[in-house]
Amino acid sequence: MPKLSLTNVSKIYPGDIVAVDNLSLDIEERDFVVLVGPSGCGKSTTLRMIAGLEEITSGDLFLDGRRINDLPSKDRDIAMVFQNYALYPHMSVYDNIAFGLKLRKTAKPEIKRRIDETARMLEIDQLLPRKPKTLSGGQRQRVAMGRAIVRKANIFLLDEPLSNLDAALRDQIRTELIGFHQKLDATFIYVTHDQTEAMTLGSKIVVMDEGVVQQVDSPFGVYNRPYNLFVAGFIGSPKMNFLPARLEQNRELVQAVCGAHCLTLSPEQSAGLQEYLGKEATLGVRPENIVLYREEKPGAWLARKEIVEMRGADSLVHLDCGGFKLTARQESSLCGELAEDCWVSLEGRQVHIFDKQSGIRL
Amino acid sequence: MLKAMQKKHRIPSGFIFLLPGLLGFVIFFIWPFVVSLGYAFVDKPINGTFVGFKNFLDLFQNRAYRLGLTNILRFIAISVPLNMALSLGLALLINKIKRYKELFSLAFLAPLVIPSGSMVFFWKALFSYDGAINGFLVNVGIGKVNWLDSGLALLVMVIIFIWKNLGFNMVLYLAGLSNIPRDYYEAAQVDGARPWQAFRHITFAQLAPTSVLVLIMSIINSFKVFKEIYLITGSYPHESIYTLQHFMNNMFSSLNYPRLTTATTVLVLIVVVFTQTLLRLERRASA
Repeated sequence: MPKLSLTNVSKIYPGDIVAVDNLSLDIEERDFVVLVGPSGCGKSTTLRMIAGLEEITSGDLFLDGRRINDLPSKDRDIAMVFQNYALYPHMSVYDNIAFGLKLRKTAKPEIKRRIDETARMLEIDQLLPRKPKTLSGGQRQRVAMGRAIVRKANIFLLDEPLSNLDAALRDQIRTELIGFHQKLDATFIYVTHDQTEAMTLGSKIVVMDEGVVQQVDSPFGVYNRPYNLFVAGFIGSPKMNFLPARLEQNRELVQAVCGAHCLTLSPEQSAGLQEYLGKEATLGVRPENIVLYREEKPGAWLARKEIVEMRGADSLVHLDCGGFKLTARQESSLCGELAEDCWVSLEGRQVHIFDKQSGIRL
Repeated sequence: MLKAMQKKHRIPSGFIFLLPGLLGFVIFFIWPFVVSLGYAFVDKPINGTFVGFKNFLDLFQNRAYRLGLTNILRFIAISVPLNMALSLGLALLINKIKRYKELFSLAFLAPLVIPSGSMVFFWKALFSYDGAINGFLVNVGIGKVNWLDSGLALLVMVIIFIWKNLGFNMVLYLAGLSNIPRDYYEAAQVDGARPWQAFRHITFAQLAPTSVLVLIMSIINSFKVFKEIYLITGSYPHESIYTLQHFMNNMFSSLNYPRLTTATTVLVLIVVVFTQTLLRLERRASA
């Protein structure tokens, strides 16, 4: 039995604004589930419905097999970390962390014991007497985390908790979050619009768009087997290259014809594409699956180098390939060797073919 | 030119922008007060001789002054907390409604823009011995009540004060409420706070700076209710509503400037000490 289960859950705001549409999702005990998608895709609304902060318009929410649609937040055994931390400015860090326990009438020595334990774990012992306004963004984030941890809840809900931090701190706390998840042995449900965060944190990723779940899979799955064009384009940075293509027979194999260029697909891919022969499709290839050559190679396409974005160890090379725009990721040390005109080879095994009409991966 | 002036004399630009307002404040408020302060230490306004603190000692031995001071403190003690509680309650109610919020706010602000003089007729028609309320009381079998010439006059004064200031305080509280992030309530909800606990630990605590402002404004405004009372009951009303303002007004009429300015100085001192103490306490609490 899943720990938390959402069955055909919808949220419709007045004026028939559909925020979440018929969402079904099973979350197992100790999962680190990441809801990811662009702004307005319904991920935060889903989290808020799980928290009991938002009423469910239709569908069912089950916790340990018990329907909890109408159960107040406080009785759901959840703790939540808010985007802006929601630390009470008039209370000290200690009182902020103790607040939930005091409301639950926990004995004072027990409150102190739990706060000391949590503060040690989060390395915020020194901050306990201070007010939130005297803390840095990272410290506030830890206190917000502490307020959730001290409750010893079974499910932690985190609503974009890293979005207010600078890049370096975000990386650091991201790593710490993985550690907390392992230490606490609890279920984490995390909302973010940042696909890097989603990929590094989640054991299960839920990609959403316009209130609809697009794919539920492991980070490896959503990256390497995207269900549709949206997932393929949203997951991965820089995003996947898309080219219009027509599928044709090439002896026993299938080839994708993109304008004047052809790409013969692998036997495994070809096997599943027989019924789409002669049809229009979209070919997707990730920047790291494009190989650049200085000289002509068999099957490689001629391309013109437009811009090179230096990113450190690797660089992004923007190319014009017979009217198609492509972005390739290349080792920075090799970029200097490239002339204005270069040759592009797509790794046949690593390309994705999507149905032109439905956008679904074939 | 402004830039040249600033460069030459290193005048902060903020000060230059402040100057027109500051000049007006000095000419019309500070200077007259300083001049009047001088009267508090002489025996008569013209060709007076310096008498030190004699006027202050005399003032505190004056029965009318002590009565006025006691009454105004009693009035403040009753009306200010009542007005604060009502305006906070009203702000909480209006804050909850989703439609016509502005309409309700405007309705409660109306008394602020109605001239006091024009309302006197209304209050008289309501509270005079042959007024509407007594008419109603007679109709329901209760006898007439002497609203304006008995101990109940204080109640009338409180009602007029609340009518006049409720909307203003309510707007201040509404502004304070709109500044409390919704996250706080949601975090409290997840933590298990009941509505009363959320009010106590979040709303009330977060409104502390607003409450201090409302308290100060209410106390200052409580001295202004004199206008209506004076117009309804004249220079010598019932003892229960004889306030410091009556005393000062009567001193002004009898041209007793030294006593008038002494009373004013004491009042200003009380208000300054009180507001400063409150503001410091608030600052310390929120530090």
